Amino acid sequence: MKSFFALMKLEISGIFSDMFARGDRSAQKKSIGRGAAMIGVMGMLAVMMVIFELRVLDVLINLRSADILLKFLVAASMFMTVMYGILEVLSRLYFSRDIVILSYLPVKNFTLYSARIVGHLIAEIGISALFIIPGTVVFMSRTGFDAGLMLRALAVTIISPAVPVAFCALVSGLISKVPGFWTHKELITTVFSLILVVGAVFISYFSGQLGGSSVDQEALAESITSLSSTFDNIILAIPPVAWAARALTDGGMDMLLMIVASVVSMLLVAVLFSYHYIEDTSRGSETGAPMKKVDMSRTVIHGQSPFKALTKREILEMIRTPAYLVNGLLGPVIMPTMMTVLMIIPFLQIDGGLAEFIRTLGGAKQAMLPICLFITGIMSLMMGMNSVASTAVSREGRRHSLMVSLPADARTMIASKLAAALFFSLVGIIPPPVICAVIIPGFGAYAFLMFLWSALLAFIGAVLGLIIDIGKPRLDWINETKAIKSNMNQIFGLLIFFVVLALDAGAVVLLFILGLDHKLIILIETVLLVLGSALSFLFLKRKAPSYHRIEA
Amino acid sequence: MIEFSKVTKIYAKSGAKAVDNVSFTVNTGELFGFIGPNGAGKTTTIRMLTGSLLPTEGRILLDGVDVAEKPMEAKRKLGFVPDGADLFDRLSGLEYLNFMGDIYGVPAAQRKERMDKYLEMFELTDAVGGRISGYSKGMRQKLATIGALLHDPDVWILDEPMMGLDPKASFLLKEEMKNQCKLGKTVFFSTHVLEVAEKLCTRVAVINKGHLAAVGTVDELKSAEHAESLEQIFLELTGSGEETED
Repeated sequence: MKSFFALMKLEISGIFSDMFARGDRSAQKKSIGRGAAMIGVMGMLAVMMVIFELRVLDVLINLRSADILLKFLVAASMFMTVMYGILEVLSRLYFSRDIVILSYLPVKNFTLYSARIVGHLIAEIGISALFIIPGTVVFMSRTGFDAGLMLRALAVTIISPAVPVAFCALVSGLISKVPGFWTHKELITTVFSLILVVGAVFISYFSGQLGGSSVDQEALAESITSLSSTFDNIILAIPPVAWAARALTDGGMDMLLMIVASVVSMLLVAVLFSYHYIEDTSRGSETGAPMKKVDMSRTVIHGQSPFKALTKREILEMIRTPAYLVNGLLGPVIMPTMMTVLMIIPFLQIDGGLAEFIRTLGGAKQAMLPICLFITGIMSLMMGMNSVASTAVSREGRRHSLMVSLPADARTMIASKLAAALFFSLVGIIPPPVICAVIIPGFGAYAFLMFLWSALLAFIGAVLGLIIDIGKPRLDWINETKAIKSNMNQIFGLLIFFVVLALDAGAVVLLFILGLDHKLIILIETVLLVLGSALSFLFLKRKAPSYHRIEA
Repeated sequence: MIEFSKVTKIYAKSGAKAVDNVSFTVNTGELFGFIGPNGAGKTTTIRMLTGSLLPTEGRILLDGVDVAEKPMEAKRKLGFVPDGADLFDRLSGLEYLNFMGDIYGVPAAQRKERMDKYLEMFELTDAVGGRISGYSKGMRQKLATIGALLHDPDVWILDEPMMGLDPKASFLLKEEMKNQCKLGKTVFFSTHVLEVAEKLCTRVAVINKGHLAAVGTVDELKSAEHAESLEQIFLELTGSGEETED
């Protein structure tokens, strides 16, 4: 039992090490800053949740089915735990480099495996807390304080992630048993991740119909009524979700069932997959080079500049690393196109198609710019998930000392990282304007503006992300997922980019409120973004030399 | 030639003094061994020499070029084999070598010639097309060595180069180190293997707790310390064989 707790502590400290650095006072100050920023991000998400919940709750109270909100939040938190955690669990369980050391320790497979999944479970409680606690408070703000409900909410917050985590461990375990997994783990993980992300986008889109697209209370009520029965059916179809949801609303037997299901599911995966766990996982660190002989006499070598060589290395590493591909590239590359298509489809389905929608907005002259700005905003929001830049230095890890020993100055190094990040952003932002230009009649010039503004925003986002990562890179990672996904710099990059985006959106809204001519709005927006790009670039240029002063 | 002049390194984060007022010179054409227990400051010294870390005080000159003032000029002169050979796992061996060739601006013809020679020498031709992630520690070390020699550096710096090498590869590396010195190049390497340092080095330096404990030929140190072997000198100068993390 002692080794279980020691290993679990190791897991948890690994997860939160970036937030709570130990050591000297400056590290502690940075930790406090990071902790505050993290709380800020969580707070921002909680506020967004509360706004959504308040909107839906009033309608639900009128329909006398307010508790459906609580059930929905439990189901959503469990769904998000699976979506957010599945690759993390796969990576933590099977790709961690520390298995080389852990395999020498006199601990049983079961102990190590259990410690890892329980450690992950504790880390995941944050997600359920984000969904359940503010939701319960909002609920009680309308229905009155209920101490029992609050206690149940705490219990469900802590216990309900167990089944999703066990599910993640089950899927990860099954994937690890796919024939050829250890030889082709990169390919298998990438394919699985692609399926997962595309699936998640569609599920999110359709569940977003609950409140997102309905503009008035009547339409919202209609939408909720029709979806609530479907939702109830979905909940009932998955017993652990139903038990957890009812444990919150009713307690009693469902609470007991939730606890039992949680314990049993965790135990079950631990028993199923801990057998030969160390032996299996150690295969991931096996070497045995593939004998790929190269006929050097036929090999043609073309020299290129250090900048191109560095950029190529960055791009190849991003593409060939599943953890980077999934956590860093799918967002900026695929999501803008997917969201654009998903946004346009409903308008194509209405009577008269897009032409009719444009007519209702006051005709082409009035509608084109708002449509252009709206899609650019959504595209950029998706692009904000680009962590290629905000983890670029961190991803060097222990190779940082090799990198800085190379005769390439800091600005070339940083420029190559920026170029790689922008390369992926460009891949993501070219298709949506093309799609819009083809589908929306007379949109050609606006499609170009979409591209231009998105490119400028991508540039600003990448530059800000790099500035953050040069400041305090995380070089001590033990697996690539930690380098990119568990890296606080990614969250900071995202947060700062969203602030920039919100400021830009606010400025544009103000210009519309002032009733300026559309051509003038286009000019001002372009000038604003060009200025923002130039300023951020100048800042990066000043910051770049500190790349060579990082004391890893 | 490498000149360390009153070099001190204090880490900004922890305030720890890793290297304290170290001065010594490595002459051109020397094969110089840098030895010391773990945590003595070997890697920190090497990282300052390669420009990865800036000294808090003092100067390091590489063929007369100040590493801190003109880092690019200094870095072009050296080839570096890092400790543990942490390379770019997602690249193939060939891609890695081409990357190094590009960074150091090695012309294609020379690059190919040297690749052929060293791949053959270190028996890596059969694996050079595969990803580095599939390489053993020894193969990584060999690849890092080839990458560091690709631009024919004037100064070759190796941090624990024998780690992970099989006896044959270790022999070949030692021969290449001697060969480089014959060609008038300077070789500076850190090691824990005292036998290697004793047999191979023109001179050695012993560092302990950040202080330079001794510099000289093995014979000079033996007579100064009245010892029979480098191991004895090492144990005397460093107090004991106790080791901490470097």
